[in-house]
Order: sequence, then structure tokens, then C-alpha cells
Amino acid sequence: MIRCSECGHENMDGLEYCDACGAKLPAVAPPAAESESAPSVAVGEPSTTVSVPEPPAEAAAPEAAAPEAAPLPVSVPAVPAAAALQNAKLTVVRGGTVGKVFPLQLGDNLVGRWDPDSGAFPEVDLETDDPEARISRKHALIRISDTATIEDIGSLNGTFVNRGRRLEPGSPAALKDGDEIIVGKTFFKVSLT
Amino acid sequence: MAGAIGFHALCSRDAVLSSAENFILYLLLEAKSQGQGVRLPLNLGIVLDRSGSMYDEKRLDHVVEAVKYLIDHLGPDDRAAVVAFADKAAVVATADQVLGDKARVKRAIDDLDLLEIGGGTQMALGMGAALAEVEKHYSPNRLNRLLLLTDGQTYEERKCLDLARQQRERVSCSTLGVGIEFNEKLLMEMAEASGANYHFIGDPATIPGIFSSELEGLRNVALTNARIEVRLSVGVQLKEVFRSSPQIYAVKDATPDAERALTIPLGDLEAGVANSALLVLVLPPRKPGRIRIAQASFCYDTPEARGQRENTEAVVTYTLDREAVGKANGYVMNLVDQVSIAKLQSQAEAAVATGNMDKATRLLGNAIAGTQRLGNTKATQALVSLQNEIKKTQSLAGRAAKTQLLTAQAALRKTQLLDPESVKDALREE
Repeated sequence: MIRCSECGHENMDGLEYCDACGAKLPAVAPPAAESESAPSVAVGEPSTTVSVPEPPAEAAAPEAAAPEAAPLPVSVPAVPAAAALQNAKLTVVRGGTVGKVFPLQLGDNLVGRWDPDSGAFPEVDLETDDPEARISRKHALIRISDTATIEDIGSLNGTFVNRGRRLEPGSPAALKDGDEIIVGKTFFKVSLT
Repeated sequence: MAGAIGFHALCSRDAVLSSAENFILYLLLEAKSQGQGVRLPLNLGIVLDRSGSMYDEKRLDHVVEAVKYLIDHLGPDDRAAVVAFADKAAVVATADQVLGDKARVKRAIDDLDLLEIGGGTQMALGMGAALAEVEKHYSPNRLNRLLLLTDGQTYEERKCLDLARQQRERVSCSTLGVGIEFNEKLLMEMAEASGANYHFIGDPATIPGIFSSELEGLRNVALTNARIEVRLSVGVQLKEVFRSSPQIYAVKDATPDAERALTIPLGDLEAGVANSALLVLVLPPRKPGRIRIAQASFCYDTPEARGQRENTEAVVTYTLDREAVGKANGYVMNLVDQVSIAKLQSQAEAAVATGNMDKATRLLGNAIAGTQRLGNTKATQALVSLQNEIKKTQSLAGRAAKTQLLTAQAALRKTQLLDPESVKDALREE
């Protein structure tokens, strides 16, 4: 059986969506029940403050099911190395409230809009700064360790770095000091020092 | 002719684990007629609502324009009769009149508003009159179809649905709902009965465009009276059945009989358009080995030959080797996603109906996450607006909410077919 992480309903193995609440079910036994209250359907899983959900330990998942050997974004342990970027921040340079600074913490920083109903509690919350709501609740993820990356996690209006091509959801792009990021209609300057 | 037909069974996984428990497997049965349509002569019954509300938003004007366009684009072999209904039904033009004097018929259509038939909505009367006209030119070698356009609730819904069902193998019925007052469930079910199309028309100015796309689809039909017959292997149970392309909806009354057989009606198939059904199966535990889980036949008529049949079977390998189970089939899982999202939307609707707004919002949230993941922007926008409207008004009764609901339904109903190649790695990256 697969237990839905959102509502606790027991579903038959192999089912894609929870019969009770419609949340996307993990292919293997879900990690821990308390992991996150967010709908697990979003592209790049990690939704809240904490780093990445523990990659489902395959050996410890004897559940029959269909082991999709799910290659979660395992490559991102937010190890605060010696050279970790302690003082990374974003500054709004256009759209919204110009000049506003969002400090970036080590690990994952969700860029989005505060929405308790869908479990979106972003570090970079543009709820009040983007009245047109061009930004998705879970828009992009900035990961800070000794390097910085940004990943679009299935936003409606896209994420852009230095006015390049729209980022493919699920493929992080590297960030360097002075880069410009556009999410929705808000322009940020990246500062890593 | 038969060589151009493709019919295959695809399982969400080719290999499954020999576990001790029942588990779910998705089976996609997809039929496609390659190449060009044979261009069957048409035999249409156009059924128009002329109730009082059709004067709103100039709906009737757009309908008049659309029907005149359609008449202008009929071929010499085609037949089309036009019927209008309100409290009564009136034959505006028989197929022979349309063929004989197009100019006069177009004048009659211009004068639709002068017909003395009251202002109510007796759709069953209109359907009956149109079916009688279609019957005059009925032939299995024609594409016999009603095009039914309405903007309101009718009095005898049951009768309309029964008419559509009784005729399903002879005359299919496409339905077009204008505005937000009509009963979308009824129109959807009527279209589903014969595998024809349901269109939601939010903006009356799009009526002519929708008529012409429907006409284009009819011209492209290659096979008629198509259906899929499935026979499940012993021990395999059916959980749910959906049509998964070109439109998405749950198939009603498709329960396996004592022989574990069921039939899924497909209706008329356009050339080059995939028509599929998605079965959610419960498989029993088994010892390792290759097992046939179902046999399926695609049955259809062509102008040259009736009762054609293509067979296929669905086989999976039960194994103890976890490695061998591998990835799910991306093409099948994409359709599973789309069908599941459409189902979430209707569950949310049901939750609103029982006053459980919290649940509805949550279900819609999950549906939105799904459409975002699939990159269906249009559906995402419609669902987000619907969710906001429900949060704001706590009901679906308001005008804005109903419009959003109908828009979302229509967007989720349309299958977004992806190129199988591009799906391969894009989809199952979790």
C-alpha cells in the first residue's frame, strides 16, 4: 500500500494519484509522513525551508509498488562548506517594491507567493510586491551553498537569468554575483558577497 | 484500407513485481486511422435553440452567421436540415430545400427570429424533429450527425439523453453550449453517448469558428461506429475506465459482464487523430512469468466494409527482479496525468456541491500543480481563477464562478497530445 503524505489515505500500489485527495503519490514508499504538507505534485519537490526531502532509501522500501528508482535531485546536499556564500541576497531592481532586499539563507530558498492552502511558504515572498500575481506560488528555487543556483519549479510565467532563455523547469542554472533574475514581472539583482 | 489502421495496447509498465498484494496497472488502448479521411458524405441535422435568451449577447446573430457558413460549405453529396426550437420545434429548411435553393434557405435562417414558436426551451422536440429529417437521408455510408446548439436549461432532460443514447449507433450528436445557463452535464453526456464532441462557447463571437472546426472534423472522418471491446483475463479487475483522447471523460456504464467483457464506444474517428481509452486495472499477485492481462478488439465500419475488427492483447511480465521493473511508459503516464487532473476537477466540483469548500480548494490545488507540471497554461489559468472564485464566494453559483468552471472543464477535457518522442525523458523525471 502507498500512504498518501497529504491526507494519510492508504492507496493500492501502483496508483499515481491519491484516491482521496488527488495528491500525486510517490512511486516508492514515501519518505516520512511529516516531510511536508504541500501537495507533492509540484515539479521539483522541495517546497519549504528545509533542503531536499530525503531521497527515498530504496533498500528500506520493501513495499511492492513500482520502484521507480526515483532519481530525485540528490545532487544538492546543502553542505555549508567553508566557502559557503553566507551573505547572498536578492535586491528588487524593477517591478514591485524597488530596493527591497531579500537575504538568502544557506540551503533552499523558495521564491513564490505565501499561500498556506497550497503549502507555499516562500523565503522570497512576493505576495505584497507583485500585485498582478505574475509570480507562481511556488515559482523558483534558489540553492545556496558554496555555489548558487536557481531552478524554475514549474512556474506559469517563467524564470530568466540575464534575460536569456526561459529556464527549463527542473534544470538548475548557476548564479554568479551581479546576475539579473526575472521572475514573473519582478527583476532582481543577485549579490553573493 | 484496413492496413492503414493502427490499434495497440500499452501498459504503464511492461514488467511488474511479483508481490503479495493486488496492485494498479494502467492500460491504454489506442486506435488511429492513418492517412486521409475518405470524405464520407454528410447527413446533418442542425438543431438551434431559439429561446428568448438567445437574443442576449447577439447569440442568435452569430448562430445565423455560422449556419449560413455551413450551408455554403456543403458539398454536392452532403445533406443538412435546419431545425429551430423554443416551446415548439419548426423545420426551418429540409435537406432537399437546402440542396435546391440555398439563397432562399439563407433568407429563412435570417428570419429565425420571426418564427412563431414561443420562447421556452423544449430541446427534446427540436431533437425529435431533426432526427426525423436526418432519417429521410439516413445511410450507413453517410456521416449521420446532429449538431445541437443551446444556451439554456431544457424541460425534459431525460428525454434528450434517451434520444441521444437510442440513436448512438445510427446518428451521433455533437453538442454546443453557449453562455453559462445551460446544463453542461447533460450536453456532455449526450455527446459522450455517441463519442461525438462537446463544445463550450464562452464568447458567442466564436460560434462560427466552432461550427467550421466541427465541419472540418466531420470532413476528416475516416471510420464510423467505432468501439473497443475488451476482455479481461481471470483475476484482473476493472477499477475505472476513461476516454483519454481526443476528449477526456469518465466512461459510464462500462462494467465487465459475467464473461469479463466490456465495450467502450468511440464513435466516428477522424483520420490521423488518436482515439483512446484508459483502463485502470487491479492486478492480482502472481508467480513470475509472462501473463496476458487483457485482449482487446477495435471494431469499426468503413464505407466499403462494415464490421471490421483489429485485435491486440496486453501482456505484462511478473518478475522478482526490482531492476527489471524499470521506468513507467511516459506516453501512458502523460495520459494518466491528464485523466487524473480532469477527475480532480470534477471531484472538486462535487465537494463544492456538498459545501466542503476546504476540500474543493485542496483538490483544485492538486489539479493546478498537475497542470503546471504538464505545462498546460490555459488549464492552469482556468483552474487558478476557479479556485480564487470559490475561495472568494464559497460557491459555484455566481456568474464568474460558473464561467470559470465551464472554461476549466473544457480546457481539461481536451487531450494535450504530446509527441511520444518528446515525452520519453521529459515526463518521468521524478
